[in-house]
Amino acid sequence: MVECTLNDLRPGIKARIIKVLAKGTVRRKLMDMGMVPGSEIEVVRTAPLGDPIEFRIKGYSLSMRKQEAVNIVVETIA
Amino acid sequence: MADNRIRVALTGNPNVGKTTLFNVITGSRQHVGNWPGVTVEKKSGLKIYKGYEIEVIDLPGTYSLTAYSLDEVVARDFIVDEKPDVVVQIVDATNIERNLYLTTQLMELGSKMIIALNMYDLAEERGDKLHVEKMEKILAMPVVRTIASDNVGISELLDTVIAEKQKENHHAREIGYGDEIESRIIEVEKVLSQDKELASRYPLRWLAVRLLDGDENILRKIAGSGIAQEIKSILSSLDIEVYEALMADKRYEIISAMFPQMCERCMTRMTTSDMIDRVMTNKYLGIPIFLALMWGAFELTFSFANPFMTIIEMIFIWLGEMAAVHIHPDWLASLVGEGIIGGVGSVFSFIPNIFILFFLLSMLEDSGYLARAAFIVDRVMYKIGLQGKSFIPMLLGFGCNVPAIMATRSIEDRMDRMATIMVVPFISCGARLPIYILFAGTFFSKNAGTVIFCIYLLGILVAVASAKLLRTTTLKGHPAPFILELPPYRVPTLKNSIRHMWDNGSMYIRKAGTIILGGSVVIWLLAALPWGVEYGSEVSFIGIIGHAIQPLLGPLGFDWKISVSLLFGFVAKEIVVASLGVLYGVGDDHFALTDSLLADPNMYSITALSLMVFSLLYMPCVAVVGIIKKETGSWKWTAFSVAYGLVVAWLLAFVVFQGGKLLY
Amino acid sequence: MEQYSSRSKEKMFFAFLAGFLYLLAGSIQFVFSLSTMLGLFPVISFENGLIGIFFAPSDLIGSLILVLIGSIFIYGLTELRTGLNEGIAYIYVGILISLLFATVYVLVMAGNWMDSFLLNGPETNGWDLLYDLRPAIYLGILPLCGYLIWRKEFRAMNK
Repeated sequence: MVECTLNDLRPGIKARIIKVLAKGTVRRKLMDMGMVPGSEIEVVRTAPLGDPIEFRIKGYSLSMRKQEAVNIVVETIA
Repeated sequence: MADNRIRVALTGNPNVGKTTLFNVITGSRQHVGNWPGVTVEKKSGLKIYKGYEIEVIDLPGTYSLTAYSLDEVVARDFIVDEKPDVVVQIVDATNIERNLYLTTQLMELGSKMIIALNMYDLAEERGDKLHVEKMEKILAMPVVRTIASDNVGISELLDTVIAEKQKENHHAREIGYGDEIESRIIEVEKVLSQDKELASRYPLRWLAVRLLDGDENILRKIAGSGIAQEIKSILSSLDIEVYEALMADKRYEIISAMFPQMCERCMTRMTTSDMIDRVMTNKYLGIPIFLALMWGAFELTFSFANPFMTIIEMIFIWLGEMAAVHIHPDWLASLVGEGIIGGVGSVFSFIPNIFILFFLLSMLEDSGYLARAAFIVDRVMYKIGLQGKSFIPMLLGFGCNVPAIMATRSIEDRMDRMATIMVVPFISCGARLPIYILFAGTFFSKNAGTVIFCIYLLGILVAVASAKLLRTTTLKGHPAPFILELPPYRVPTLKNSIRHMWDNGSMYIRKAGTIILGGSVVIWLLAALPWGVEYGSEVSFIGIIGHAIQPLLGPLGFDWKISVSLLFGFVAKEIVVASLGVLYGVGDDHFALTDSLLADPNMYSITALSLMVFSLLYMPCVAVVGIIKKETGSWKWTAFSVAYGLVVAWLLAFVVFQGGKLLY
Repeated sequence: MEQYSSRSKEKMFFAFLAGFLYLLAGSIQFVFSLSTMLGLFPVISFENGLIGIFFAPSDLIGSLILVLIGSIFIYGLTELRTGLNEGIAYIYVGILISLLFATVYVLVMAGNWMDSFLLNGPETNGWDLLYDLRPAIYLGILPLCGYLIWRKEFRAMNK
């Protein structure tokens, strides 16, 4: 188990969300989309141009820019 | 209200098939308008079923009801203020877990609820086991399985709606937030209940929950009440941000406790959708595929539409001839034949383009590719100061800037939205195409396609440069976060796409029918007056105006005829061609106009190019100006958009014409 | 996914053939249209020579699309070669996109036919069905066969 932020993960890596550092509306939006502590999240791929990143969370695909992913602290799981 | 009338609100996450379900239920009996006071589209429809008049209201698709966006406010205000008899939430059966988040919030609104478990076939195909009865028990509301695209489960859904309406009481399950929060909820609820009016209008528990959730919209709702001060003091003693997070956690906690009982998900294997996505968003192939698909859509819109344009043109030519033969006196025949039929005819002949474009856009959207397109281009869009979501409005801009600017509503951030609205008018809309077709076709016959493509490209470049410029000046800052769902790929349905095509296409027709008809008549009048002058000659009003503004446009290579028609392009860009037809005295006869243009000694290919560049950029048409005012809510921005366009257009057309002359 | 591995030879051959043909046609089309557009050699009208019948004289973008489709198949091939079953996805999308573009060109062709028919009647206008015959159309027969053969298999991937 390694603690890091979402943007550090490589495609195919699964992780569990520990903390959402974002504030305000971004935080709210992230919560609405299922980004809450405890949720499992998997990095699917990065866009052809390197950003944004596609994640799989709660059984659906969500995309986010790296700069937003920085605000989500996760721990990797096997 | 009569007993046989039922009002049903449809709600749900985006991409769950809500629009399809709405269309299936209401068929053609729909009404599209706006929600009072806001610019969010309101769709409602009527269904007569088993003697009941069922009014269906399609609420905006939202992930939550926390007032993050205007859509969410509209959706929940409708439910709490208008109190529909039944609220139907459409849940994507392949994505129940996240959809339930909205359910937990809807349950607090105190309406009778039904879940339409849509696309359950896809979930079952994937190997999921859905326990519908268990779901009903857990959520304490009816759950109906539907496949909206195949018309499955619709009558069951309507039966359930009727049954639900007749039920005396509805005991929706409530979410418990745990002791600490619950005690706060009770505290706030108690204070709220002192205001009898508030208590009669809203479910108090919901108000309390929302207030503790830091909902400023609700805070404003109770601001007029005598208890507002007391509430504020309670709230200020709490760390709302912590509460907000705790409550969201609690909701998800409850969902994750409920979910496994409702649905057994098989081991997630690679689905077809994932496989397609691997290729579509491939590091190397993703962008070429994206460009190719856009080009294919382009080719269909413009090449395939040709014969249909010809048919419409022929009909209007025939109508014009009929008018000339059968209407007396001559001036009236001229007004009807050349002014009205000619003007409207040349507008109508571009309907095929617009219909096909909207059809294809709908296909792209329904297939799920449009979200990928945003995903693929976000990096680029972000670099120019916009975001992936700006791409969709800009793409729509190729059809018509009006719906494009309306589509910017999906962009939550005001700055991003403003920047997108400002650059959309540079995206070449379908109405500008007639100008290019005429001039590129006439002066660049062999390479007309390439020239037109370059003009479109120029529009994009100017839009990009302008976005960049705006972001470093008036709209300084970075685009808002990009948190976007990528829905699974699905086979788009023909029905939906045709519906979409029709809705948007008919909007264009209505615009053509009113503004453009008016414009045509005005042109005819200006060309025919003062009384007795030769029609459209230099001594007519139109000629006088043309001469007056010609010095301004002379450096761009335009004579007075072009100047006049450009002036009238303000009304709508397609009128440029119509008015040229009138000015050259050939009406809407495309071929005669081509011949006249070729015969005109003032017209060269360079002039044509300069003209195309100018018409691309110079100013949005009246309808677009109107919508910019409406969407930005500011005359200043509207004026800026117009002035900025004029300056850019003049400069670039100047460069093209003078540069071209040097090379020629 | 085991069942697919045993049949991957078939798909490898298909991907190779389709990829090769699309790339070849794309290259010819590219050279042909580019040189025509640049005026490097006199335009070959479609009555003279096979190349004019099977390729379009000024469809540069069309040639790039052919190359793209070819690349998707070849990309899939390399993925299959390394033993990745995901390579099938490339073949699937390759088939999808090639059929999509075959449809686009057929529709454009139908449009032009209608246009010439409406205007002057098909004989007098000088338009000929062959004029709009693009590689994407006749090459499309191959992916169509692929689609028909593996249709069930592709569907099965849903499960």
